[in-house]
Amino acid sequence: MFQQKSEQRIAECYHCGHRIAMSMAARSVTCPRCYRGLVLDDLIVRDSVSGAKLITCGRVVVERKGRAVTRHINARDGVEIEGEVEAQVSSGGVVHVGSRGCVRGDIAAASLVADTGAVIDGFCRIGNPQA
Amino acid sequence: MPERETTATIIGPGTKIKGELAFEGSARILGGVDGQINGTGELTIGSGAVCQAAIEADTVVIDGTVEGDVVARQRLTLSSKATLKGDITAAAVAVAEGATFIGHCRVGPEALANPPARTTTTIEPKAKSRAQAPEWAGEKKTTDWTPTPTTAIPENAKPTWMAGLTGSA
Ligand SMILES: [Zn+2]
Repeated sequence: MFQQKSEQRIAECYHCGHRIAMSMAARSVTCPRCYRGLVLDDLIVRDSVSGAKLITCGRVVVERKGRAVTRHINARDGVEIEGEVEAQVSSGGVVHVGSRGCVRGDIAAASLVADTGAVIDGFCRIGNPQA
Repeated sequence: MPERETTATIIGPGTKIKGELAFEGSARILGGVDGQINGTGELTIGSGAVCQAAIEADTVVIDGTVEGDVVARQRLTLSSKATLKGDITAAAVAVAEGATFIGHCRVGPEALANPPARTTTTIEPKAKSRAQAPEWAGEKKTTDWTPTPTTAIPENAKPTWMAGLTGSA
C-alpha cells in the first residue's frame, strides 16, 4: 500500500483506475500504468461551458451562474453543482446538487445529495451495484 | 401548538404484507411489504426489511432493500446499507456512501408537480389461485358465442338427445 507522506496526495487515474501517489503541488501527472495524462486540478465553471468534456482527478464545481453543457463530466473527487448542468455526470465521490442546482443527464457516483429546490432528471447509478 | 398524537404503524420483522398499506403519521417497516405503501408522514424501511412496493409518503428513509418506485413529497434518504431499484420522484434526496440506487431520478418541484403515472407492482399470483373460477360462477356461466355452421345442417342430423324431446320417430 501507499505510504502517504504528509505532503503527498493520492489520485485515481480516470482512465484505468490506477492509484497514484504524487506531491501536493503537482498539477498534472502521467499515469504510470496507462501512460495517459491526468488533470489534477479542481475545475470550476463560473459561466457557460459547452462542447468539451470536463475530466479531472479533483472536483468539478459548477457555480451558481455556471452552465455546463457537455457530453461528460467526470470528477474522481466529487461534483458540486449550484448552476446548470446538461451532461452525463460520473464521480468516485459525492455528487451534490445544491438548492439552485439543476442536472439533466445521467449520474453515476458513490453517493448523491440533492438539496430541497434542486432539480435532477436522469438515470442514476449510485453506489457500487454488483448487478 | 396542539400536541400531535404520534401513533406509529410498525410492521415487525418476520411479518410480510401483500397488498396495500396505508398509514398516517409514521410507519416503520421491519419485515416486508409486497404491493403498495401510501402515507402521509414519515416512512422508514428498516435495515433487513425487504419491500417490493410502490411507495409514496412525505418523507421516506430507507435502510433496507426496496424494489419499486418511490415518491417522497419532501425528502428521500438512503442510508449506507440501503438498496433501491426503482425510479424516484422527490423534493430532496440524500444517498449515503455505501448505498445502492439504480433507477431514474426526478428531483425538484417540477417533478413533484407532475408525478409519474402510478405504477403498480404486480404480485405474481400463485399457481394455485390462478384462473380457478369458483363453482357458483361455473353454474351461471353463459356463452354468447354460437358456432356458425358453414353448411346447412341436414334435417336428419338432429342430435340424439333431441330425439327424446320431440318424440319423433
Ligand atoms: Zn491510468
